Amino acid sequence: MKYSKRVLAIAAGVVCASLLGCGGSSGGGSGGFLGLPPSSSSGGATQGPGASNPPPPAPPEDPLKGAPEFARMTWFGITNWHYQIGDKGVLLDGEVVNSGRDANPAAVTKALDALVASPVPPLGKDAEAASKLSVDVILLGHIHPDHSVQLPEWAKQTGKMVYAPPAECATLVSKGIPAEQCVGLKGGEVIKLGEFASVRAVRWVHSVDCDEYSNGTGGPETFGFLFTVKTRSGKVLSWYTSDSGAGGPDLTTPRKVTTVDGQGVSTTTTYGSPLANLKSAIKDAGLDGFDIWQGGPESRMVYQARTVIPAFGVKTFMPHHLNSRAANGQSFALTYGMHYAYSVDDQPKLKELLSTLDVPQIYPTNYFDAWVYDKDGVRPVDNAAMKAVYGLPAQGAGPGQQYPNPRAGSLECPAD
Amino acid sequence: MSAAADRMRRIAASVRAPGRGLRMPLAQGVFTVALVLLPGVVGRTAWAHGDWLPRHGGIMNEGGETSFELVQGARGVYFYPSDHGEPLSAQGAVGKLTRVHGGAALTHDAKADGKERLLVQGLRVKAGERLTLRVVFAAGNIAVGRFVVPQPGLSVREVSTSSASSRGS
Repeated sequence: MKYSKRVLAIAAGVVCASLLGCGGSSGGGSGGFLGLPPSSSSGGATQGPGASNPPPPAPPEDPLKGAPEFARMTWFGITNWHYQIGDKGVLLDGEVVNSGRDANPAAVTKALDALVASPVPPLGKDAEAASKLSVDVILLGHIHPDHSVQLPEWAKQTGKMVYAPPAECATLVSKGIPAEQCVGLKGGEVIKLGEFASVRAVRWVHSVDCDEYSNGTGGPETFGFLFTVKTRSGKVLSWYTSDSGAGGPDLTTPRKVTTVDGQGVSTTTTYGSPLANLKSAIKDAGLDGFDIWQGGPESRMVYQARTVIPAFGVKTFMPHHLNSRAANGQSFALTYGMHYAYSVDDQPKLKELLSTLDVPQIYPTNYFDAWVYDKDGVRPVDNAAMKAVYGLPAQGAGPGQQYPNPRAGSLECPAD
Repeated sequence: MSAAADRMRRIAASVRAPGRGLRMPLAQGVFTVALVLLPGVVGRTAWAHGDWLPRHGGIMNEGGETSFELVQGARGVYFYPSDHGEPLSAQGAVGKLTRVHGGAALTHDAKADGKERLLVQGLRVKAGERLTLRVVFAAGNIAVGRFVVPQPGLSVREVSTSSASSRGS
């Protein structure tokens, strides 16, 4: 029954990811905010027959009373993120192994336990909510082995809804996951996270190297996700997480997707361009830009940044696709720590651009680095307990030795 | 040492000792190493952009998003395109290969040879050459593969693509 309702919601173009705060919100505006309910203690309804001095009307109930104060962000390699927004937790990718072609149940269990069971220091007025992390929604940006191999296991162990490229839903079903547990994305879906937060799926573009060109074919269907959170302060938090560095015509060319059915008949569908898709999502969210961009830096980030940052008024850049490639023979391993560090000097053109635009870079120094994003911006927070699960130091790199970024020197092209 | 040669050296270090019945020893070069790669070894390899192992006995391009495997065959040089380990269709694709050796640059046309590869007919590449392959796929996307032919002093050993194609993970 629960899944049937979800299917209906999907058909209507609105996906309700939680059982709370969704009812009656299908026509709502940004973040699914519901209007002020009528108060039983207001107006003349409380006037008694003998009342000569009616009590002053009660102050209107704060419509943002239940809104979160902040979002808590935890990064754990490649484009693996956990976002806690009030009492809703969102997992992105969750590729905690990055080796082999089958999911590793024990590795996912360990990561899930680390995320939801590690004690988190209280933060602000949301102490209670923020000290209990959860996984309630699972997102996948694209199907590649450094992002998607563990996804069936995350779905199985959490039982939560997955929003992923359609082919991933087929994979989940083949692994025994109920079809109703996965929504195959086309782009434009709105995933409600309770009353005050939403995620919008944006059909995006995968990385494109020097002298290459992408129209959506030749690589995986790729999605970015626009998060919006209306906070108690009234400030709307907004961040866009994506995984690539293609710019120029790659950003402005409509996406072509060819699918082949069981009879071998192929169908090509054309969607909007990545840039148009993002503009549409932002407009749908009632915004004209977003504050934080989690993107790249696997390649050509500056090429994309030259368009995206000015167009959407990005205030902070958080590079995140890090440590998927081996460096000096050392592969990705959460217990090793980051085997190469992010260096702003590896992308001198991007460094110069961001400096010119006065956009700071905030980046991880090790797995399970965490930040709080609130009305005042982004700041790091303690996450020692989670790090300790993997034997990582409370702060900084280690315990393994770090090597140069294997892509250093290849992250920017002469024409960028 | 070039990144490609370094990558092949690491592959050589991680490969199992060859068993009996192999046609040639490891010492004959990195192409032989690629030939003896076993599915079990492939399965333990980190999956990341640019880290893919050859499936047809050839060498992989450096870095990049789209992978190409270069194989020297009897009819010329073959290029097998793939995306993160999954073969890409070469049907209808056309390419241009640029070879730089000793300061001179030569270009050759590459054409689809069946569904899974492109062929530069009649070409034999030599150690030390820098190759850049630019491919326009049938659907319009463009990918580029860059190679440095390894093992100075040795020419690329010819491999049997028909026997190698049954390998892979």
